[in-house]
Amino acid sequence: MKCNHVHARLNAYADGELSRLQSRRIDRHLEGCSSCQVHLAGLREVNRILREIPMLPVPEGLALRVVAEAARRPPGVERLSLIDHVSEWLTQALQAMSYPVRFAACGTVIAASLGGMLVAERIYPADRRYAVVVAARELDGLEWFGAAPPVSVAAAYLAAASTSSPAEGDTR
Amino acid sequence: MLVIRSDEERMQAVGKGDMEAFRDLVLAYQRPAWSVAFRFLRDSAEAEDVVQDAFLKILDAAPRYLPTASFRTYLYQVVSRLCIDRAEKKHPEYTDELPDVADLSPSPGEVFSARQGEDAVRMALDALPPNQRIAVILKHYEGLSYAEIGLAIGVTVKAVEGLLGRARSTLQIRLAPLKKD
Repeated sequence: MKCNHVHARLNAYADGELSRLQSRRIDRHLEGCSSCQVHLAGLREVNRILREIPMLPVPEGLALRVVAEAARRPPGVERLSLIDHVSEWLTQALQAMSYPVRFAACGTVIAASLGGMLVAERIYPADRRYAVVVAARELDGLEWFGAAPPVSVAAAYLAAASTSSPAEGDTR
Repeated sequence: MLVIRSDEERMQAVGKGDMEAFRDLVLAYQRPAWSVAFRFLRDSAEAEDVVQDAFLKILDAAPRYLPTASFRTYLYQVVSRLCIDRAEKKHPEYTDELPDVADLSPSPGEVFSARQGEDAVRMALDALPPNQRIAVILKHYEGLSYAEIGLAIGVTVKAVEGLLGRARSTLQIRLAPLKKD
């Protein structure tokens, strides 16, 4: 191992975050490298100094003040919606299952979906669906615009427009 | 009959409106929440605000809580985020990422002239960028692993190693006058 590689991992080494194998490799390097030993010693010294700051006492009554503030607030700041309840129930139900049961449950859902598609195909075959599609294609899309009802804003607007608009070609 | 519940079970009870469970969690975790907030902010009133905000946020989020990580890690996540947000509001940085380059003040000489010991260490910690400072606090005072720190501040384990490495290099220079020969 080279010094720059060791330097890069020395923090994790000092914090015990490396695997046994990685630690052993660094141990071996440190045995023969005084520069890295100095680096590690400096690091441990900083850790020692940091540990010397004493623990600060928690202010008296802090927990009571937090609980009192929580109780003062209006209840149900974030109420659960029906979807949240259902998703929570599903998640909890799945978490309560072992992995084989989870796979079986997922398989059942997929099989049920495929089965449903097959049954739907039997009940409402494709040629009937296509007939509806073909019929729909024959429409020009303007069937939506029927005549305006006699008593409506649209009818009033059409009447006003036809009486007030000048005749075509009349520019005076 | 005495029923002993895990923190995660208590949290789920809080989600269903159990305020006794909430009180138990606050009593059990006020110390770590306070410790992180005060060490980071160094202001008693601000630290108390952060602790209160953290527990109220946890109360609000309780109905959606899923015990995927330990409650302790979840608490550190909320407190760390609130601390970093406060630090950013005090010294806003108009960049996409948190500043990761140490502020060069105070100098080692200034640290030495301050009362030796605790104050000097606290001054040196205060001068670290927020993400390095929180990583050091979570590691040295709360004893979290790199993986737990990563979860708390939303970075990878490798990034935690980098943050701690840079923080300690800076501290090594600043705290040189305090070293025991």
